Amino acid sequence: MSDVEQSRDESTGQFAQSTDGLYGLAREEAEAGYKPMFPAKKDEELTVAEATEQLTAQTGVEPEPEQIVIYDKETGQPINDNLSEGPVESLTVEQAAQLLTNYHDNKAAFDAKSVSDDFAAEVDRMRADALKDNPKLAEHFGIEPPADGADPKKTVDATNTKKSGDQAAEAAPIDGLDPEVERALKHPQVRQAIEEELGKAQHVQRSFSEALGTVQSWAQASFLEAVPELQGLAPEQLEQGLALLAQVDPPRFEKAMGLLGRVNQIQTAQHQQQQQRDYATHQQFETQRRQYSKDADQALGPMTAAEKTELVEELVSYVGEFGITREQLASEAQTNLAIHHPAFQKMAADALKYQRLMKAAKVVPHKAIPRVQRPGTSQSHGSSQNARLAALEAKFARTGSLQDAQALYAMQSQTR
Amino acid sequence: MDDERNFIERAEDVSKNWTGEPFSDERIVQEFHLYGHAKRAQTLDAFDIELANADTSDVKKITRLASLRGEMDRVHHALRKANR
Repeated sequence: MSDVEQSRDESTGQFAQSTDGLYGLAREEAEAGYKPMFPAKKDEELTVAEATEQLTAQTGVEPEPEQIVIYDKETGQPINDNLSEGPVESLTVEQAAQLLTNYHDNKAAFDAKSVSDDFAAEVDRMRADALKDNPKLAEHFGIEPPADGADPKKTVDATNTKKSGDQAAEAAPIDGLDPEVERALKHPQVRQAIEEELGKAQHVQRSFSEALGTVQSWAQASFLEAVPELQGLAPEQLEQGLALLAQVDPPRFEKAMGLLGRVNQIQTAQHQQQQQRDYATHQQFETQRRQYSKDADQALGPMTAAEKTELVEELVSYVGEFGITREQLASEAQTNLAIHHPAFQKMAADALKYQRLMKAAKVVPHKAIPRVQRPGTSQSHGSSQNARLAALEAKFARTGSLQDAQALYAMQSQTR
Repeated sequence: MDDERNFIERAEDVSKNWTGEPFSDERIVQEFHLYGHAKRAQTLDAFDIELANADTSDVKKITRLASLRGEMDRVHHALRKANR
């Protein structure tokens, strides 16, 4: 702000504030005679060293450079890069840069293609589901209807089985392994070879996932570098910020939207990778669970479906006594293989049998206690009266005479 | 009578008549996956014309249209690279 004398408003006599260097809301307030109660803090500009330090801290440790091997096109052998072993071919910086660019482009294209193939299979499945109920929608969508008699799901499955060894199990029928596959798996060398291939496939998938994560971070950093004004905004404010940018600087807005689109694309690829991994894990779980189920049936012996249902209900009731709900037990059954193991199943069945025994009503044997008479005592009055009463009843029953009836009635009256 | 509705409004009205509920932007993009290459390109061309002639006073509407156009563009090119 200059030291030049401030102008004075002649009508009010107040000094008007200088508006030099001010714009927008601050300028309007100054012209109206206001000054902010809390002056805005000036952001100190970073020096190059400080900016570099901050960026390094954000990006983290730089990963080791990727080892790239150059192969001879004609022989297919790696080109020598050790002077002691023979002549080494030289490159200019421009040639090396071009080779590196070609390498990265081809690698990205290869990775994108594999993502594209999975994406294409998923889209084919979506279209097949949509056309299943109404094949005439194919004309509306502008796609070719599936060939008559062809099952689109089989096409999708055939495409999926080409991918990796751990998806080969999809081709097997749902109720169990193909007998030929089962026979082959019994051979130890075949099992070992398949397990090695599965391990390689999983390693490739993990590497790809890690690469996607790295690229995602780079894309996000690129976005924030392109539009640093949006850094620190909450997600709900981002839309407004972008709308404002579209008005103020449309080319940068377009660039930002392009970057956002790339970030979204990478996120989609990551999501698809995760879905594939989850599906493979689920398939493995189901295969093992079916095997355990067969073994458990052998361990527990033949049971009807009704008996199995009753056993399950008893188990739910039993574990409920320890605070485990039906939902928790069901969740464990869907995620924990140990519950399906034949040993656990046998243990649970034995525990339920024991519970049944413990809860069964025990029949207490009733023994007739013989009458005990103290020595030196005669029969009690009550017992002699009972004997006479029994004798009179027997006599009346035999004779049926009026006199016997009178005697019986008199005796009964005495005993009441 | 000229139809003054924009792409999103038309999609919402049509989907409401068909299903009883208007489609969300995500659902519109999901349905866009089902279209073939030619149909997708035609849709995007028509969308571009609408966007160019749209009223820029409603920033929120423009942002929504631009965002949806970007999403559909991404899907179209991903499908194109996958030969779909």
